[in-house]
Amino acid sequence: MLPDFDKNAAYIWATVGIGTVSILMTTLIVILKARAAKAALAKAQAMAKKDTGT
Amino acid sequence: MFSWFANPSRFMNLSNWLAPACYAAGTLLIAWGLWQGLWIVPKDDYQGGDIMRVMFVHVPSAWLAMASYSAMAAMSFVWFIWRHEVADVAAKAIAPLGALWTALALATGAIWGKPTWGTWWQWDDARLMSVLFMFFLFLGYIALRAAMDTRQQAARAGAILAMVGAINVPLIHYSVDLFTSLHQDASVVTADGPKMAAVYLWPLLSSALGHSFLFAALVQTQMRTEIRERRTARIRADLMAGG
Repeated sequence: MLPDFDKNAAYIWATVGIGTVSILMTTLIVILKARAAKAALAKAQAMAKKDTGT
Repeated sequence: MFSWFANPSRFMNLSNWLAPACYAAGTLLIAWGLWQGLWIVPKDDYQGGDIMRVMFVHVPSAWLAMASYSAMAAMSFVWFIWRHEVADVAAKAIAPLGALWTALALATGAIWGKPTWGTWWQWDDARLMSVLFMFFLFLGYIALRAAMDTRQQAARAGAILAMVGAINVPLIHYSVDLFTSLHQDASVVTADGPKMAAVYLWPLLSSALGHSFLFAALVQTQMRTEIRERRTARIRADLMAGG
């Protein structure tokens, strides 16, 4: 159950909302970027291995 | 000590388990701090009633904004003196995250300011303007690095800007003492110890520690991405040269 903050509720929930959404979105972007970089490196390493092997 | 950490392979091994641990610790501490701050602690009428609960998001963001700039300047200094590439990778990784936390401190500060001071923003307030200046320093650092032709030039220009801009950090801290400001004086980090009641202090410290762990986790992830991108670029360059 949500607490009752009277006249200040909009300010308090806006602060919590902005904080939570911005941090979650950043975390998501950083993790997706990390996964893309990992995949790109694996692909490049596979190409290099193939190139060395031929 | 710097040399031990400066090895990218060693960093990748360390951060492989340290980053997930920091994500977990950060999430738990922030959740506990917010739960305490929003649901458990009583409102403080001396601090304007319920609006003081904004503190549990705003204060950790503001502390972390200053800490992140200090860390970026320190990493830049390490790169500048010892030329450890991992230090440059760290400084580069900190910049966008520091900008985010500074923006968060500015936004939540404005939200807190409206019901408390009667205004969202005051252009001649030393605390507000020095934090805004730090936000622009982060953006300037990112833009400056992006404008350089080589990685070495980017690291050098960025390091100089970060180190020179570090003078703004103590200015932010002491701005409420040195200049007239709407912002309240320090109530936790003071020479006489915290002035805040323990019932508010512990959730605040938990939230601040949680933000720090989460920030550390994000920086490590960004650094791992940067190291992998550099390795990928090197392999591709070798393949191009060989082919």
